[in-house]
Amino acid sequence: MFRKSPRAKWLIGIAAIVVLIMSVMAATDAHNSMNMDPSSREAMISVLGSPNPNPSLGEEAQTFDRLIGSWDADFGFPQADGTVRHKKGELHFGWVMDGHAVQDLWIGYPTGEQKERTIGTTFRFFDTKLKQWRIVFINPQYNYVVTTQGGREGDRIVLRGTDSDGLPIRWIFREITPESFHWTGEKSHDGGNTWVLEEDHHMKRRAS
Amino acid sequence: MRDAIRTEAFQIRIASLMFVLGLCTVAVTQTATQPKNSSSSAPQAMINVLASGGPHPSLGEEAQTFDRFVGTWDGEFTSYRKGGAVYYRKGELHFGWVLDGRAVQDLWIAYPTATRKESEIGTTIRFFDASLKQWRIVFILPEFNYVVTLQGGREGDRIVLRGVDPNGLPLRWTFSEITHDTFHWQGEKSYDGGKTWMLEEDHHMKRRTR
Repeated sequence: MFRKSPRAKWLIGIAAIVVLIMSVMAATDAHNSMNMDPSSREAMISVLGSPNPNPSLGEEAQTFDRLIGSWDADFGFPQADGTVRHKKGELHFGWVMDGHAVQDLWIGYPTGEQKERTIGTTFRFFDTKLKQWRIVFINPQYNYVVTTQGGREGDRIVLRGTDSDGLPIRWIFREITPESFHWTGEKSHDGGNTWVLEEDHHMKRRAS
Repeated sequence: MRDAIRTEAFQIRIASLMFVLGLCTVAVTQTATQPKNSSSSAPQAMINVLASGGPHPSLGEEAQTFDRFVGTWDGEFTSYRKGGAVYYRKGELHFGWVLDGRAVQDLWIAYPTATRKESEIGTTIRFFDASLKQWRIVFILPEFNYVVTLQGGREGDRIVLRGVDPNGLPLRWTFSEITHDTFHWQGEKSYDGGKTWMLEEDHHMKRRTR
């Protein structure tokens, strides 16, 4: 057995302090890179996200809260000749802006004709005056901005608006379960009497 | 002599142990708090997929219109209202590329004041409309049930965006005196169809550094 010299004790003390400082530095560093690196080009993203809906939304938060997370998508586009063109992609929903809004991403994977993936985003917030959800969808690749509004109707979510070509559109979330939902996009060419199904998408929650 | 060698060996062993412990601590803390690599099904997945490191190459030189704002700014907000009321607030702005670099999203945050307990947070999406050859802007402020769209681009050394507010009144938003570390932003409204303009928002930003 050897006995610890005072010098060894002193060295162990120094080593312990160094480890402590390193841990604190590591923790601070990781914390900063996650929450706020004010000088970084990614600061917006760190500030944007919220873990939960704002309490002011109350029960209304549930309208879109159940969609939070990632979904694998089978996008279907019914054609005039009765066939359906299919495309695969993914959706991501998350609370943003202190939980006052849900932002989502609709991503279509590249196909034979389209080399780059397509990516659009939606903002969804509850308008406390209208008592309706207001939706803005933006897809820069198609120079496309459209607004719709609505909310829960029975077990569906129905959103109505006007397309950029002036025609009425109707977006419906239906058959919503924790693991899947069905989304349809319809357009009316006769002022809302009849509706043409243009988009028919099926989502499955992505397993972690 | 043997004692001294033993002590030295012991010290080296302790030092190595401490070093390894230190490395482990660093590794564990970094892994635990790294959001970018988190599971894609986590609630934060949207945020991770949204962000882009820079503009999409298809934007070319036009990307510079808003690329110079990317980062964080401290804001001094002054608001003028009809009847002469003036409000001062402090806040911060964050600009970042999103959607595969095809758009800039920003956050305008106003800090709480004596009369407003919560901070207010609005967001803007800015993308270049390739057919209009103009930037299109959508600003959303959920707490005020407010959505407004504008469009425009660079005019000399300014950026001028024009639109219509929810009440149908013409709006003009101008970025001016743009330097690397500062810019001036003004929001004007016209109550006579664009003949005269009333300055309603007069904000000065300073880039945050550390």
